Amino acid sequence: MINKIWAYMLIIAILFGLVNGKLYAINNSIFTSLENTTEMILSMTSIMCFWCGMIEILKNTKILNIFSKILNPFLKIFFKNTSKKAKDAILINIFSNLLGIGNAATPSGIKAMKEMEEECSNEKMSYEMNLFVLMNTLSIQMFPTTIISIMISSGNMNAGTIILPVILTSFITFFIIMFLGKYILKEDEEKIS
Amino acid sequence: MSNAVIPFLILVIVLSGLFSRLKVFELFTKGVKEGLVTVFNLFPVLLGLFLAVTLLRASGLIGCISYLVEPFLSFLNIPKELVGIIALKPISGSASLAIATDIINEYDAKSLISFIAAIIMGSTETMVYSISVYSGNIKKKMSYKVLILAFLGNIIAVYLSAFFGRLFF
Repeated sequence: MINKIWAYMLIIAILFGLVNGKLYAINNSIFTSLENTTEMILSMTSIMCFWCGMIEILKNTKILNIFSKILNPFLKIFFKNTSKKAKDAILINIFSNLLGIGNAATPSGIKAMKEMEEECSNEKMSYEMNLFVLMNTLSIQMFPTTIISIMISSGNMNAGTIILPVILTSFITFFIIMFLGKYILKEDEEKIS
Repeated sequence: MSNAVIPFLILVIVLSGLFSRLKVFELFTKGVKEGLVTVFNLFPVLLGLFLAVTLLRASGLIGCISYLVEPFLSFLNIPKELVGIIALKPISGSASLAIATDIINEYDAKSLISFIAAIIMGSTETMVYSISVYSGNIKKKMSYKVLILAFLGNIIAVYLSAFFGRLFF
């Protein structure tokens, strides 16, 4: 999937740029893009590592137990047949997404996928894996700190008022798509097996 | 308020670590090491993906698509000034954040357009990044239906952002 998408993105960009007369811009942006990625990775390494360190502490405390008890009914709806290890990683993933620590959500998300991969014998992703990827394309952030701080620095001191509409929007969307996903993806898997 | 969230979080984590009688610093450094490995594995994925997105933007195709979806946006009662954010947010968090900052400065931080732009930034996810990171680390094939549903979710979130934006403004 990603192999084709990546190839087509590059091919279309270069061909479209050729027709559009933007070959010069494309040539320039190749190297700036590569440099930017390296810069971004370097600057995010410390933040990402910091959150991984914090999450490692959090994983071993009892907070997660309390949190997992609250979230358990929710997990039962969507990830019924998932192992304990995968469920723990999913919990940390949801937890970090709720708090808006996207950088900490990624490692736990990848771990959850790897755990679920081991349980799945098919060469296609299982229903739970597909649903988990889908879940991570939806936002469940409760504190959009970055955008609020930008608004505050630009002169809107009441930027915190976006929190309620953000929570309403993301949670309504989340449940619509997850329930749709549950039925559509499940049906898909039953057809295969 | 937003200044307090992260320091408060650190406080809660370290305190609950102490209460659970954990070797907090050892755990912290262990986590950092794991983080390094994750970044190491992420670098190739990001390098390839950002190259493709930057080239698409440089070729003018993303601008073209923005122009094409404009009538659709006005049908959904979404301000057309937000077309850049809506088109780029699913692909790149940093690019859309740059556009959002631009809008907030251009149309004033207290305007309805900035308000809706901020809600969109907070309530949508960089879905292309998520899909590529999660499926890119796995050898198994993902269902194409995930893509369709993710796209649908993005449209619903943008529509609701504009709706609640007007309601709460």
